[in-house]
Amino acid sequence: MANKILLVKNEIKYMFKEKVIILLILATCIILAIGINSLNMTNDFNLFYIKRNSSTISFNSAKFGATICSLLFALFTVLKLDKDKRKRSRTIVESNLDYLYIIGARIFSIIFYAVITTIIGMIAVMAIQKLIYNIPIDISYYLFSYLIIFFPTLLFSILMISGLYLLTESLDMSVITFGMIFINSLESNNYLLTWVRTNLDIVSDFAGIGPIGNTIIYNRLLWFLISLSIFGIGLLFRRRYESGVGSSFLINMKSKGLLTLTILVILGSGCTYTKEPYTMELMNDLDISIDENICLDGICPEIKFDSENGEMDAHVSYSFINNGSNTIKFDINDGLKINSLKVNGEEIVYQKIKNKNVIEVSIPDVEKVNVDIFYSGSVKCDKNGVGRGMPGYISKESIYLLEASNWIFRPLIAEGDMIDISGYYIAPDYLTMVVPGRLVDVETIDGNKKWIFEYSSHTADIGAFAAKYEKAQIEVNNVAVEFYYTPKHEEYVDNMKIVDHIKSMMEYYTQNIGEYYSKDYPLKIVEVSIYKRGGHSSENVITFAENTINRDNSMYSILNKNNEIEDFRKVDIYANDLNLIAHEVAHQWWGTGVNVIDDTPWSCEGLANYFSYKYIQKEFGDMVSSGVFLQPWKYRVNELKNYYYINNDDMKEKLNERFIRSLEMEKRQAELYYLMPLKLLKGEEIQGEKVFLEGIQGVYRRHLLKDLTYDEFLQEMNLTREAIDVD
Amino acid sequence: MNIKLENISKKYKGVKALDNINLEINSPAMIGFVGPNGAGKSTLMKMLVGQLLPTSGSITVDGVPLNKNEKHLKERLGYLPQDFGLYEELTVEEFLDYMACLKGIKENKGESIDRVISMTSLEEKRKFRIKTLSGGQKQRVGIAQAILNNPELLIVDEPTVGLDPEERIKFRNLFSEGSKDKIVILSTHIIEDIESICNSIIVLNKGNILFVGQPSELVKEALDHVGTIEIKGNDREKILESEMKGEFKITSTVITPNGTKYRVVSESLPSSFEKITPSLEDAYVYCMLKGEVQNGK
Amino acid sequence: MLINLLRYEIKRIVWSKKYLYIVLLIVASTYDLLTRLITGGYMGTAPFSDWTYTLFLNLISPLLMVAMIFIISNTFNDKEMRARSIVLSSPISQTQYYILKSAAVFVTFILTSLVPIFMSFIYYKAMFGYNEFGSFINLIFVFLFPTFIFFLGLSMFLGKINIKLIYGLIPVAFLMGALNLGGNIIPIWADIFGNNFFNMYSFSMLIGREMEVVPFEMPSSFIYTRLGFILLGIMFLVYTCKKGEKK
Repeated sequence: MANKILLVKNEIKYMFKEKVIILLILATCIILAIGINSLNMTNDFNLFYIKRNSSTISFNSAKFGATICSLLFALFTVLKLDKDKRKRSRTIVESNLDYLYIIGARIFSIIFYAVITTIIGMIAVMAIQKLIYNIPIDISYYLFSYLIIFFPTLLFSILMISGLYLLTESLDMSVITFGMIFINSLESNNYLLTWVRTNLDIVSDFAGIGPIGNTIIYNRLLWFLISLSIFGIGLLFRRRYESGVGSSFLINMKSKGLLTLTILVILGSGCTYTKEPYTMELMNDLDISIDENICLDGICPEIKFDSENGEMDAHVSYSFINNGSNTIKFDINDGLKINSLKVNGEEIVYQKIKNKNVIEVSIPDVEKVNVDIFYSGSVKCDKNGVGRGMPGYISKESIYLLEASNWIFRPLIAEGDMIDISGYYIAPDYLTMVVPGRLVDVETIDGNKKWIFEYSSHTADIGAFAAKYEKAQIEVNNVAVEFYYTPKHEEYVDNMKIVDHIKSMMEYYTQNIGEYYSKDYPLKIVEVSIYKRGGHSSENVITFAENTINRDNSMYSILNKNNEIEDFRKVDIYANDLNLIAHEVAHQWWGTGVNVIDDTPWSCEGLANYFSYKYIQKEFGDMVSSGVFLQPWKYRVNELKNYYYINNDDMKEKLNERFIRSLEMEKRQAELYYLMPLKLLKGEEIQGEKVFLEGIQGVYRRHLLKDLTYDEFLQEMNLTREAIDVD
Repeated sequence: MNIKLENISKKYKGVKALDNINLEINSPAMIGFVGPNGAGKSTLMKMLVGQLLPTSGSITVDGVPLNKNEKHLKERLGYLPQDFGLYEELTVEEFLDYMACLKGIKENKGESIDRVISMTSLEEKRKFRIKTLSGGQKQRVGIAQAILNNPELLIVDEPTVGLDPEERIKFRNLFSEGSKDKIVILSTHIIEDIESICNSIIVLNKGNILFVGQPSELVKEALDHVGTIEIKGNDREKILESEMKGEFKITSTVITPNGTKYRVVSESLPSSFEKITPSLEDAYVYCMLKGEVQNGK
Repeated sequence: MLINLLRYEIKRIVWSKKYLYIVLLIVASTYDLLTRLITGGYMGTAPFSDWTYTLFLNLISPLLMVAMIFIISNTFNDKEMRARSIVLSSPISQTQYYILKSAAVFVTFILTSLVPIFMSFIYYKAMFGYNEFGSFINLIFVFLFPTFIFFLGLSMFLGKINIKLIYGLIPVAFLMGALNLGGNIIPIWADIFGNNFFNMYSFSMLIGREMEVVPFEMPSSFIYTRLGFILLGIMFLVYTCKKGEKK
């Protein structure tokens, strides 16, 4: 043992003397420093000029660094392992001791230097943050970025390339194979496969590591096992007594320990991959079939959140009006386990539909059916959505649950005219909970707060959002608006006049569409984490991702003292951010206020985009609104019209199911979000802005809290499909 | 062919590998380079084949400076370095064909290849990849490529390393026969090789030429400097001590029924030693010893 | 005579397990790219459009180039260095020697790149009945060749200084080929693979297009940078050939 330690010590010493390692450490520091600003080097327009702080600086540098240093360390490792072969010194070395020890000592030493590099690199980036940017350091983000992301990437690279080298005994083959594994990781969206730099774009300043920490650690575990497997396979095939691959394997196989260990890690990685606990296949909208014979009358969610463990405990009572159905189907979330299910007070057995996250519950043939479901667990999301499009998560710092996550199991039935919703959420008292509808009362029980709410709506799309929020109470035309944001971003909110803009949006919509749909329910505007990009509106709650109000101080130069736009370089970003809020606010009129019945391209999205565009046009003028919205919309619509597979339907058979689906989704999205507002603008052009808007006001008035179909809209607006056709 | 070296010196990072060498070689000649490790033999040979440039001095080939006449030299050159590699992916025949192309052999290429293959007894291996050959066989391929173009100047650096005794004798003769009408320069540590074939010997040490001339002249110089003595019992220590002091060099030690018989070479042989006729090896040792003594002065 | 030497040089490269392995890898990734990405078409263009084909070339080139750099590195490895003592004692000059080596790599490159190219042609023919490959040849010349010539020259140049520099070039080639940095960090003159240009250019040409088939007309500035890379590559090669290396 002492000898082996001495061997490693010697190796470390000699590597240091060779100076390449110093160069490598130096290069790493430079790469990490460049990586601090790597977010602005991507094509991700929405993440430009994000405010620098510990989370972004540490994560961006570590991610950028991991990408490049992974290759550098791999190359360094393979050159070290190949040294004796190149220098033809292997025979001499091998005559003194088992060559395996030399391999072991070299790999150990390189890992040792990877640790040193990580520490030095981390300190260098911290120093830059502190000394150059003068931003206080939050060590926890650094530990996460460097110990969980950066170092493991180096470790996996070292292990994998060592395994590949031992397997192929060739510098070229191992590097090229490693390169392929590397490139595959970069191309993937699946969080399990992105071992080089994770699939995260950014670490949230709002929610911290919590919502994604587990998945990242799981990815690290999986790849630790995979890289160990590759290394183990390499060891099993390492050349012995100058024999070939096969005979060497037969000799190595006699080492039962190694063989067993390798098989175990291979099985372990397979198991880890398949039994992954955090994600599931989300169901596509197109797959859902609605039972029209039954409708939802009321829903009563009683939820307790255990944010410490990321879990929830739910009891949801549904009341249905049944017109002759025998079963009700519920779309569920795979992470939530049903503890019991009662129909009209009696516990029954339900069936899970194979390969789908849907359960089927038998119901008696009576008019009123009550279903009580008791379930608990943690919400799962899609593999490709981790960190980018998570429809739901529960973490210590924040809770974010959109209806899309099925955190409230969604009955696949027709929605009634009005659904009575009442219930409560219990969450730790340090969190401010944002509930749908009206907050009735807040009770404090043993360090928890119980948030009781009630609501009456034509949909049952309820969400739950919580964080340590700051709340701004705004009153616009007798409508109460509650604006929830994290105190961390207060400075930006103040400087960029976000509250004023919200007011002005409300005023603009009230004036041009009509009164806000309710005097009872306040409008709640909520900042949420970037782990779900963009915004969302359901019921009287709208959310938007933090990047909208978490930008760099340099954005302040956009506005001058009189709140006029002065600096046009970054105005696009600002306009986009405000547009996001304006779009979601517009959904309160179109979506919540008026239930717009989808009939592609007709949907509430078109109306919301039309009005947010109008608002931005008013605020920023034609140049910005046309450059940032109108032109891209036209482009997108034109472009899709010219898509090969859209124009050549018969060729679609060449494509796989998933691709066709995503293409259809893209097309539909372009029609809903871009084509429809363009059609509305055409209508406006025909009738003149004044007449057109008056027409819309009439439509809104007549359909408030009712449905609105495309035909009704056209008829009432005195328009035809042909008239507003845009070519 | 005429090769002339004038005031050649070579320095590696301040250390002199060759120090002011002057030498003229005319064909035909069969020259042996001898000297201890690091004497500068290989450096000198590399310079002769145009692979190294001297730090100072000039080399002329047939009256033209070598650096302006490299092509002329290389067209007439066969060279086997001490440490060399072959294209191991190719078969013996392919490699020789490759080298023939490089050497610009156009006429009778096939015959030339056949000839050298048979001269180096590689017939059985001609279709084998060089990778599969043993060390000695590779050495033979190296020799084969060197003599492929029937060179006017053949420079071989320790050619007999790795060959079995029979092969060694064979190649010795091969070089010797070749030297009838050309220059063959051979470097070796094995005095026997030189003794049996070289008509000229050059002794090098520490970058200096200690001797140039015929082997017999070298032997002549050592006359009266080689002797034997038989020592009984404990006197052994004494003689070893004397060697340590550099008074003489022991070239052989034979245990006899009466004690130990030593053969020594010395600048001034003590009277107690019985003088004998020196061999070339003794002469070489004497030459080295003399060189050391001179340097010491 | 030279042809014969070249034949041997190529045989030395191609007739090995390593090369076979590289070709297998290329075949596998070509197949993967064609079926997974190319069939879908790039940005909604036809799978056999010039745009999609350029994407294909961009995706396959990092592997191709790195394989070539490794092959070039063999000109400077220990084995070759030891063989040089024999080879360079023949009348062949240093220039001829490097030209021979470069020519062999060049031919190998053509042979190797024909693998994915033919695979793509067969795929297009079989899948879409498409066989107008004329414009693809053009793209191959604009995207693959300058990149290769540049790397050939650069690797020869670096290898001559120290083989470790060639190894250092490998991650650079991998990253520049595989990472698309959006044209912000990599200016057009340093865009060795042309992938950053392609990305920006296709964005500007395809977004909002008003026709189904947008012709892929490369701006002359891009063509000049490609010619620039060829020129640089050749300059590196000439330097390598001419610079004396006797000690």
